[in-house]
Amino acid sequence: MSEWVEVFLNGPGVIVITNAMENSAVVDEATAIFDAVIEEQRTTNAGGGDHFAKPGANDRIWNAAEKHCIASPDNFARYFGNVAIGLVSRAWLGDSYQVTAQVNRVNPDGAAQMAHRDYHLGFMTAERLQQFPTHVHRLSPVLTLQGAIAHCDMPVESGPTLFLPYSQAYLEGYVTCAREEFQDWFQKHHVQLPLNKGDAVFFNPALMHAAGPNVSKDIYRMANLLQVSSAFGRAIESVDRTRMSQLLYPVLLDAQEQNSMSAAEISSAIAACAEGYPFPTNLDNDPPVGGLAPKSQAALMHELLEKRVSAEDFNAALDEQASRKRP
Amino acid sequence: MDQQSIAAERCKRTWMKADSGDFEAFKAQVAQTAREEDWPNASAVERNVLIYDGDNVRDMARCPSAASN
Ligand SMILES: [Fe+2]
Repeated sequence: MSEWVEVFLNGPGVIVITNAMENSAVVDEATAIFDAVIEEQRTTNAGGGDHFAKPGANDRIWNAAEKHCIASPDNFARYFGNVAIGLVSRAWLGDSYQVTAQVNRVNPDGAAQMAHRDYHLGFMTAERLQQFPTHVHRLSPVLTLQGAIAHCDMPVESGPTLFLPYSQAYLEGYVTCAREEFQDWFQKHHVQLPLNKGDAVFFNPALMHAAGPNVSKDIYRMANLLQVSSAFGRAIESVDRTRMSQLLYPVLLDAQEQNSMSAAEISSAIAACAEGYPFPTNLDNDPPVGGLAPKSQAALMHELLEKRVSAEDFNAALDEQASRKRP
Repeated sequence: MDQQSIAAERCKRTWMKADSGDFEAFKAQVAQTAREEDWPNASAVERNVLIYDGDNVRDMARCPSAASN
């Protein structure tokens, strides 16, 4: 989809895919899983703080991808076995991308965020930004694709994300973003679209954006924020992908057997779960053979799935590979 | 250009300062308007945001030649 490459690069910088989640029961089941995680975090006081928001206004689930997969590998498979997510991630980042997810539920009275850019350089102070040369400012947006899946209908009063289209292509944007005249311009000229449950938004992480204020009486605005990383970047979260892969494999094996997921859907699910890139590795134990890269975790999963290897044998192969890659 | 000004120009190009960036250039950048004809796969353009229909996207994903367009 070269159209999307240009949208993100020099075009408006943001797209909505309506009905990106074809099966709304899958979204509802995931919502119930996330609600339960939030409830548990509240009772145990886990979860910690948040950037860009005051405490209490919202509930966060960090590393929602792993928590989702642990709570229900089956729902994870149907949720991320989504060719739309695969297509847009591949368009912007190329192969071997890596998915992390963070759930954000903004509750009634939740305030708007300050307009910002996202990870990597978007999370730095003006001071820190000056320690990276200009070509790295150009590089940062290419390392991530930002996305969000709407878990409920989001009328404007519930505060769906505010965007300033075309702002991602402004080279000095990381250093100027917090400056008063740029913030004022964002306040006056941002756009905001209502979303329906199951819609997805994807945008260049350098686009100026902010969660809107939730002025509704009773809408708990839940979105699953996807942060998709380039194979060549460092993802924002550490995720136990070996554990996730072990949980997901039997589900995919069964789906393949029953023909309940297409090959492309299985591929998208694997990409959201397994480590997609073979490096970093331990070259003593896991050397490139004949100049070719060693196998990635995702490649191993594809290969053994194709051979219909049992979950038990897959687990053994996965552990063996993980131990070879350890320093 | 003498050696000193070459070095100064080069430094300006390769490093940002806290006051880098021109507000007028920023306003011109974000004043653009998306035209539907430039984005043939989009089903609509709403307030400069491109809207794609999920069913079309799934069709494109199924058809490799469309996906590479
Ligand atoms: Fe953000």
